[in-house]
Amino acid sequence: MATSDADDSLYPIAVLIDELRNEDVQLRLNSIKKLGTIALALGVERTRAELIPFLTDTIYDEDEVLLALAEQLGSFTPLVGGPEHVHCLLPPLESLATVEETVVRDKAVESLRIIADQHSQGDLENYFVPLVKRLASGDWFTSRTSACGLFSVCYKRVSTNVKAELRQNFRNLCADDTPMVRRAAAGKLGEFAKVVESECLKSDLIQLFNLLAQDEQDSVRLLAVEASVSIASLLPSEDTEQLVMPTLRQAAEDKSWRVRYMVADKFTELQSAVGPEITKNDLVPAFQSLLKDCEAEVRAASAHKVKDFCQTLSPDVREQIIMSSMLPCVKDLVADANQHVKSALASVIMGLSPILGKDNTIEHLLPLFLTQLKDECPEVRLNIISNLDCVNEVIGIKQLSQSLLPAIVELAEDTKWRVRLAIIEYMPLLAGQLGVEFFDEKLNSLCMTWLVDHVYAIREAATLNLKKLVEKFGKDWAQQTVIPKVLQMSRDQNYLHRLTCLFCINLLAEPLGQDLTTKLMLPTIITMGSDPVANVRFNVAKTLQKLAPQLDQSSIQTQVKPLLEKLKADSDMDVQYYASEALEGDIDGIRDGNVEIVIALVRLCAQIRWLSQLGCGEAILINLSPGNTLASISSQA
Amino acid sequence: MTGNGGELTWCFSQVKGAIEEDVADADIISCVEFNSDGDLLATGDKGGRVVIFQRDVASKNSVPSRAEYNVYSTFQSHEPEFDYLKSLEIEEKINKIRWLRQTNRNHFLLSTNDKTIKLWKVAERNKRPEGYNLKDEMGQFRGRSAITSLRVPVFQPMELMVEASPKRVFANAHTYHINSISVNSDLETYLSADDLRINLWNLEITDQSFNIVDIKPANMEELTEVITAAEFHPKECNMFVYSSSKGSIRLCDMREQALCDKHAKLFEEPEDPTNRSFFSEIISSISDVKFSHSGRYMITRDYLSVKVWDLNMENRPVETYQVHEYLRNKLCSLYENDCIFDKFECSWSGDD
Repeated sequence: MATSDADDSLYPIAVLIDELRNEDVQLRLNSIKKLGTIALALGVERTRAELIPFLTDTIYDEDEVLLALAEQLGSFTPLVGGPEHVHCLLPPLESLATVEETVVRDKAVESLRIIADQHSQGDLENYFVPLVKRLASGDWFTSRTSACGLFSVCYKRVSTNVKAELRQNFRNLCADDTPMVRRAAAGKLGEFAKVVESECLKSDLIQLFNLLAQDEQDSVRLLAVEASVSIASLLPSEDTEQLVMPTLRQAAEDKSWRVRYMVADKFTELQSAVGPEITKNDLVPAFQSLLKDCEAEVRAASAHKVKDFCQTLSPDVREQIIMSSMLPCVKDLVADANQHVKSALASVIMGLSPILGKDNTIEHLLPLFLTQLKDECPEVRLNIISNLDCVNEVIGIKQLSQSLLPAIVELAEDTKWRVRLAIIEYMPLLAGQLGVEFFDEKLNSLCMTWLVDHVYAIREAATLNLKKLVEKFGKDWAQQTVIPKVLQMSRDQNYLHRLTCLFCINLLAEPLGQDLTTKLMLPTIITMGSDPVANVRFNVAKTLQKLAPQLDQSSIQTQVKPLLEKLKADSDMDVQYYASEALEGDIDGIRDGNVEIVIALVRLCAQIRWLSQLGCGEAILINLSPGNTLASISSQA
Repeated sequence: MTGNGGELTWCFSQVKGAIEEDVADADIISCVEFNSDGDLLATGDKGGRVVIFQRDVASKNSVPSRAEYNVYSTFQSHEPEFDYLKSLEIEEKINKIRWLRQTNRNHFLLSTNDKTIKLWKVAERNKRPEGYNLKDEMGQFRGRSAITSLRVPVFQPMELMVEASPKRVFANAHTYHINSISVNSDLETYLSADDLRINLWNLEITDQSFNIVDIKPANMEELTEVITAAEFHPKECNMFVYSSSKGSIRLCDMREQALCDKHAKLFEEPEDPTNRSFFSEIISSISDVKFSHSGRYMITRDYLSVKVWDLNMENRPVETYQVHEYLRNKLCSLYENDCIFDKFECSWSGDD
């Protein structure tokens, strides 16, 4: 509560209040975000009497301010005096719910839903429900669309008469003149269905569902499809068959491709909602026709769902349905004219092999994989390659490796750099699955070629790739196969390649550890410190700074510091700058490193003392060998 | 505007703007549009400005009804821009304005120049907050110690202020000059058409648009016709028409396919061989197409006539009105002074 002698504490609040109406929108936004502070300073009574009415009138403001306000009000209940007074938050939220900017309206509705739960049953009927009714019969369609979102939160706790009124209001909204309102109603039908009693569901809401599913506007019909999933999951099978399926069958054959697309998109949810019997009888034929739809977008959406649909089929009929109904359609899709369809299929088709098992996979699926592996569209090939692990588990990768290699090489040399980038990103995964011998034999040279690609993004990805491979295959492998080639790049004629060498060293230092870094890589870095090109020299400085934690003190003193001093006196400004940065960083780094060790040791001693006081006689052995990082020491302590 | 001879006489009710001979180029009005109930009239000019007139309330209710409009709001919608990639100037001239159906007390309109479409909100404000903590009545700052209690501002009425603010900018979707925009009956989407392509937008989303018609040939040397106007059906959310420079109108149904290159109906009147001349093709180019409010008919304007088409009949219009037939003999001189390429618009009365 504000008291008249606490002058200084009022000042910041006074500033905030004045900024609520400042010209600058950022200041207003800032104040709105601190509305809680203002309300606390004013106290609950003044907040209710003065602040809330002010906020109710502030609807002329910019959208971001109104959005912030709508959000704040959702958590304002304690600031107006708790649940008995929560209804006084309704007027500002009501006016925010009529604003034309959708995000503001949605946030206001969200906040209204939050505070609905805090109303007592009496307050709900006296204040909240009248608000809903006012919005639902408002002149402007913005208020009517907002109303749609408020039915489900208040329905459960009101009396039977009021429930009937609410249902009537919702019915009116479903038959509203404006498509926007009908769309909002269709969107909320599902959640309303979840709270109404099941007789009302069957008698009233099914009617509304059918009404919306036959609306003249495509955009309303396709939202009804979404609602059908919720409704179907609430009804027992026989009711679903009778009340929902006719409408759904129509939707799957709707004239508008957008509605059919929505059915395809929601197919797996539908499948879970209607249950196995209806799936077998109705959904399987429907899915087949969607996979053969004349519009490519619909086929692509259905193709995406093939794996999930097959997996969710009940086990006793699964194999039979897949082999007899799904596989023929899938075979057709592999040769589809549209590349997005093929690409969508490629991303899921491999997932069918665990479901079908080894023999069926070899006989039926393998040819399809191989065809897609040779597809002219790179995205299709990429999608196959990225999902190899499912196949690996079932039949082992050897079957594919013959075709796999040419496919990988072709993608790695594609003229579009984004395709090359994508295959690089799969390389660590592939390497893990194919094993180190296969990799060394066939793919190693590819990884090296990428390091000297003419697109920078590829070179960058290639260095990251190397790091991941070293982490996977280990230091010895790195020492034998990777390091020599990387270091060789330091003598390349093209300065960009010499830079790439440095970037590799940056990333490889950590997995290789201090020993190898100092022994193998440091000499090369030092040599590059005398490179004729300035870019290389200042990157040497940056590399040395980055590597400092990996190097031992003596190397730092004898080799690194002298070089950095020399570079600090370089003729090029950038080299001077980075060298001095590195020198300061080095010193701090070392100092920080030492401090960390000291702190850890002190903590350790304290713990030992404490333990010994409790009578724990065992000594704690700490491994202080150089290989251990500080993190592991602290965790052991 | 068409007159059907005899009963109707037309006269000016009001003249807005300058009538003198030398008008600044920037003031030339480039488009005119009423909103759905006729209370507001928006005009766009070559200087990128939009002026909105509002109907005087008294004049609306008087008998016989007069229409008197007063300036309601003026704002600069588009500025001239430069396309660096092609070294071309982008004019700020407003090509089309379309009002959105009124959703609440504020008004919205779409205005477009050659390349960019903007959604404007026109709002009235008649209250302002009063009462500061840190300043007194005169506006002087008070000292920190003078603040003994907190004061919440209160809204007081003030004189009416009309503000226009840009809400969305839909840019970079058209290679050629935008000639039409049309809002869909679903109130969520609208289309914009340039010479070769038509794009579908969602009013909420400015960074994506779908291309629904593309008549650009693979080889530009084979180009024979361009899109001149496009409009959504007033009631069916999935149908729209577009007219071409060759005198045909195509009706497309968006339900059939995602890309509507294939038309559902083609409206074309076979040419009258007696009137054939060197200029036939030029004057058959349709400059505007408008659906009736019922959605059953549409009118098209070509150089010399207005035709009324029934959507159910594709091979000829149901009515044809010659607007200035006397010009038919003068086509040659009109061609020489380029007036033959002038574009006219057409419009239905409120009761069709």
